[in-house]
Formats: sequence, structure tokens, C-alpha cells
Amino acid sequence: MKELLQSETTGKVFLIFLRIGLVLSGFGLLLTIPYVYFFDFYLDYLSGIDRFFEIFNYISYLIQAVIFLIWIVHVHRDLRRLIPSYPVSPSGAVVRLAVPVVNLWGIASTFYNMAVHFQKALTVTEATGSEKATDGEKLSDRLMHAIPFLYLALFATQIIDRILRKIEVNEVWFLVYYVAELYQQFVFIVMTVTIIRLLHRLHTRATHEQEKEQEIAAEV
Amino acid sequence: MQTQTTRGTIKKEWVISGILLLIPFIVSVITVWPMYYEYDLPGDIVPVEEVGIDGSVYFTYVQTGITTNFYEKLLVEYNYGNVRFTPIDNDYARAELEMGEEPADHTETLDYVVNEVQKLTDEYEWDFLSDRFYDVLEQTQDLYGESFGMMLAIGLYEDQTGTDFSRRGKYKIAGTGTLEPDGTIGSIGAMREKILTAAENNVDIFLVPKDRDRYYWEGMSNQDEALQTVEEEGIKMRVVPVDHLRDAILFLKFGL
Repeated sequence: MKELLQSETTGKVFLIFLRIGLVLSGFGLLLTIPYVYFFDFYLDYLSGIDRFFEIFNYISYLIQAVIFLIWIVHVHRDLRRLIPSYPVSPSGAVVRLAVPVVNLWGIASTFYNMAVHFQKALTVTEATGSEKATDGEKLSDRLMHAIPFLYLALFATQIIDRILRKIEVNEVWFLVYYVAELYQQFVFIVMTVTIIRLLHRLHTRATHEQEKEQEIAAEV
Repeated sequence: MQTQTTRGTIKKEWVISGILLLIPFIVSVITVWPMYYEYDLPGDIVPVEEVGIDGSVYFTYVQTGITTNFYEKLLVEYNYGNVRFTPIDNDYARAELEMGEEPADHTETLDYVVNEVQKLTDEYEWDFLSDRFYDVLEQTQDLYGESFGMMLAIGLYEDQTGTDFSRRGKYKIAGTGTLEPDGTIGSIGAMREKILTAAENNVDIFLVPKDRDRYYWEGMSNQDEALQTVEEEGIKMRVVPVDHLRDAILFLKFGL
């Protein structure tokens, strides 16, 4: 019987939340334009809607964070099943990503390990001449290259958020914040889609090889 | 069979996402749903000198505001700690919010103040009406409510008679209460916050309306609330309930 990826449904739910987050950030950016340049109009007609979306965005962001951690656990369970030598355990990944300070190194470590092991696993397959292996390698490269962009996005949103909370700055910074948030959601989406695709490639390969082995065994 | 499986999977993640999205949706609707509350926060004491009257006493103001939904209520609680909220009617709230933007006009209160003080000081020569009435009106246009009426009258009495009720700064005297056309001291709102404000500012004597027998609104009279707050909070300040402006003046002249 074909074993399914444990992370599949969680990954899709996470992706839906990321896309909703992207739309909400775009909406936030649109509402911030009248806030900065037409404040009276904003106050009279848009502040209620803005508040609604602000709260909606905030809570869905919290839910998104929880889904992310569940997804990461599932991804690591899948990885350990598909690549027995995979070094990071599901709980280790959560600690690396969720514990403050540790995650300064942990984020890079987790995604770097993923990219390297995906690449290794799919390059071995490439030796058999499959086209998908090359595609998998490209995807692994994309995941690896996305890491600095992820750090840039995370630092940018954190720093701008702190500036906005603590210092009285020009309202234009609110626009900058939403641009940074949009960029962050975009980077998350790219990385999530890449990881989902890589897991699929790996899973398809593993299932294919398993079926072949079963066929050979049956013939023997 | 494959299509059905795919459809089933798509449906599953959308159902989960839909259910999860209900959480932020419901919370957002609840938090921004129009729900009006009035709140009072401790403010400050202001010398009557600041509004152009040459007296030694102080009036008290508190910070008041209106929250229009649960989200704003949470923000006020988060920023100021333990705040007392009173639910208010939607129409009243809207009227108050609009009125807050206009400068306050205290002509009526100042008329009562001048009339009552004139009755008590008829042997003195009056210079206030012609010279400074409009100056005081201008100085008070940023103050809302009429609760400073009594203290303005006491200050004006000092001003016109050259009296110093503070005994050269020995006593810090403050108070609150409206001045009614017949000279009685009317009830005001946010008594607890005003007592706390006065105590924080080391006031020695605090005058409040003696309204136990004529308080027609819901809840505790100003007199009872003031005495209860002082007792509950262990405040050493002397709280003096007064029924009429004349009683306040007599107390400050002979009761200290």
C-alpha cells in the first residue's frame, strides 16, 4: 500500500494561510495609503475596516505560526522516513525555529539541512538518468538561496515593527512596514512551495523504487 | 477514483482552513462591533489662577473618554490599568464624540458664579465683570463639563475680597461640584477618580457636593462615594461635603 506524506494536508493548509496573509498584507498596504496621505478620509470611512482587518490579520498570523510548527514537525517526520540518515528530529526542528535567540541560528540550520539532504537524495536518483532529479536539484538550490532572503525579511519586519512601536516616526514608515510584510509572506510562500514540491519528488521516487523492488521480488 | 481522491483532499484542507479562519473572523467582528463605553481616569488639579482668577484654590479635572468598541476598551485598559467603564447609549456617545471637538462655552456657569459671588461680596467694589469675564471664558474653553463651578466661585470670592483661604500656602484646597443658579453645589461624575487625583497631588482639603439627600441618578451619591473612596484607599485628605456656596465659604473662613 502506498504510504502518504504526513505533511501533505498541513502543508496545503499552511499555504492557504500564507496566501491569505499575502492578500491581507496587500490590503493593509492599500489602507495605509489613505492613512498617510488622506487621514480625514481614512478616519471617516476606512478606520473601522482597517481595524477589523488588523485584528483579523493578527489572529490569523498567530494561527499561521501554530500551523507552521505542526507542518514542520510533519515535514521532519516525512524526511526521517524518506531519508533515514536525516539528522534533525521533529522536536529538534521546533526548538531550532521557535525558541528565541536559538532561532537566529536555527532557521538557517533547519532549512540548510533540508536543502542539502534533498539535494543529496535527489542527485543520487539523477544518476539513474531521471529528469525529475535535475528538477529536484534546482528546487534544492532555490531553497538554499532563499535562506538569506528569509533572514532579510524577518529582520526587516521585526526592526520596522519595533521602530513603529517605540519611536514617533513619519507615517510613511507604516507603508514601508506593509511592503516588508508583503515581501516576508512572498518569501514564506516560495520556500513552502519549494519544500512541498521537493517532498513530493522524494516521495514519488521512494514509492517508485519501492514498487520496482516489489515487482522484482514478485518475479523472483 | 483518482479525481475523487484529489477532490477529497482539496476539500479537506479548505474545510480545515475555513474552520480555522472562523476564529479570527469571529474575534474581529466581536472586537470592532459598535459598543460604547465612557471611562474616567485620574487627571490633575489646576489652580484657578490658570484661568485668570486671582485665588489660591484648585479645581480638579479627570481624563474622560469614550470607547466605541471592545478593541478600544481593551487598549484603554492595557494602557491605563484598572479603568472604570460605564456603558452608554449609542446616540449619547455619538453626540458626545461630536461635541468634544467644539470649544466649550461656559458663559452660563460663569454667570451663575458671578451672580452668587456678587451676593456674598456686595460690600466690595466689583471689577471682574467689565475687565475679565471674557478672558476667563476664553481660558476655560478647553475644559469640558461644569464641575469646576464651585471652585471658580470660591476663587472669585478670594479674588474680589483679597482673601487667601490657603493661609499663605499652609493648606492646599481643592474641590469639585457644579454651581447651580440658586448657589447650591450640584453633583458631578467621576468622583472616585477626582478624589484619587487630589490625593496624588497632596491636597489637604477637598470640597465635594453634599448631595446624599438629593442625588437622583443611579449609584452612589458624590458625598458617599467620596467618603467611601477615602476610607477604602486609606487617604488622609480631609473631605468636606458642602450644600451651598455660602457653606463652603463659611467653612474655609472659619472651619480651618
